[in-house]
Amino acid sequence: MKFFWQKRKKGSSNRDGFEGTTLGKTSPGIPPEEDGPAQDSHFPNAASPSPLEPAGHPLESNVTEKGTSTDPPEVPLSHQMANTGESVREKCSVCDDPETLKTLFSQFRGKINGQIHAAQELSEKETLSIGKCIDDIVVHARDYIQESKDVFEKNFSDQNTALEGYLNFSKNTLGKQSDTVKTALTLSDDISEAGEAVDRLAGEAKLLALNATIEAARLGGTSGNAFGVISEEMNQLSNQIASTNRMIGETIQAIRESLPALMKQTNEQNEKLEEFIGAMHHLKKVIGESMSNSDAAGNTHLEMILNLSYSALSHLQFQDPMIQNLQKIDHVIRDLHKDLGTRLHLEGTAEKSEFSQLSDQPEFKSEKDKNTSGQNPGEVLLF
Amino acid sequence: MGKQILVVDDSAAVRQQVGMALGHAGFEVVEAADGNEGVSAVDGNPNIAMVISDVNMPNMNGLEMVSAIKQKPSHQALPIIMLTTEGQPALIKQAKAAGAVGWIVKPFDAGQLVATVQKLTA
Repeated sequence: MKFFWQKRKKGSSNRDGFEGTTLGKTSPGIPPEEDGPAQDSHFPNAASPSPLEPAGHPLESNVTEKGTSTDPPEVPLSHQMANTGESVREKCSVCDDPETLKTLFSQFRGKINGQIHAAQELSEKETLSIGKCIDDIVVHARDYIQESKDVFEKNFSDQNTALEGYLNFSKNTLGKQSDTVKTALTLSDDISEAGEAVDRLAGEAKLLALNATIEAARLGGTSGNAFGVISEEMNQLSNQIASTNRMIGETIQAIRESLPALMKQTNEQNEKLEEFIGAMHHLKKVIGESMSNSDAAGNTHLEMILNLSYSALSHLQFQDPMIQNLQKIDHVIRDLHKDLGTRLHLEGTAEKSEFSQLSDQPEFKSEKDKNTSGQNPGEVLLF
Repeated sequence: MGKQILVVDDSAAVRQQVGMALGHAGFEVVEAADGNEGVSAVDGNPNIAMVISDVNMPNMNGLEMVSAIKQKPSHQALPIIMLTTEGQPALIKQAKAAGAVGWIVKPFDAGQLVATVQKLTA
């Protein structure tokens, strides 16, 4: 695509006189004017549609044009604009209809502003989307780290509670076992004492049997025989008591001999249990430290993610400078329009851009001033 | 609930970026799209602890907004910092005279911005 003036001086380039002023940001600016056949009627020699056709979506527009157009490669807009000044001046010298030229410039400027607004809207939309993604990443990372921490702490707490419960139960059981053994020892002592008493009773019974035997011999006859029977029964009873008591004593002795071993085993189990409890407390401490380290690592990662998101935020702030640079194009056109109006003695040309707000104040006049302000991007100046 | 910070900028993207930086640092961000909305937000919300404002905005620019806010005695102590692509000394002087307490040139460093807000709202 070519402008009509490019046909007259192909490849000419002149950027002199296109110094733009520093602009403020935009309010909804000059709307792009509608396209129509009337516009192209001003370009009788134009072989293709105007390059200033507004596009609904800049990217979409590019794809469509590249995919379907049979025109030569499109001249970049910046080159077209650079060519504009000198070419227009040449054209103006032969232009028969200054009003038409004025209209063309208004349309041209409107379309440029339309493109600027389209670029602004697109960058705003995409920047918001990227910002949302960054925010989601940070939020999800924070949630993930917190959830991991909560799950780990809960599992550890549950296991710890269960283990503490088991250990306490074991300790109590061993304690009761030890008490039972001590009680059994005491009871066996009591039984031994009782056995000695029974032995004494058996001895007395034997003595009674002996006395009965003596009495039977002294009495003789039927009475003596009766004493003899009692004496024999008493003797057998005494022997049985003594025998039974001996058996009880031997059993008690066996029990007494086994109880210390059981007591020893109980004590050993108790010692092992204490060792195990000590090991568990150490393990609990180690796991606690590990959890703290894990928390610290999680926080470090989260901080890194946050810093990366901050860095991404810094890079996302390209929009304002980009739009301001684009808006300089409008000022180039305005300067050109003004120059044209002056040359053609037209009124109403080079109206103030709707992009301009503070930009007409003296402080905003020069890019050079801005660069020598001493205030660097990102620098915080507190009064 | 964190302290409320009013962010005034006609760019939704910038408001989002400032909001993300401050939000992750525990602040609650209130947004306004121009100076008029900024003045209304400050007048209608006594909980706003600080204002971060752009300079170039439609309807009412940031410097005009600072002047309008600072005209009211109840807002004299409210810290306002300007966050803008502009860096001209004359504008900075103008902002200071209007009652702003600071000036940050975009692109801002999120960490520094958070630190500044924490300092001014402490």
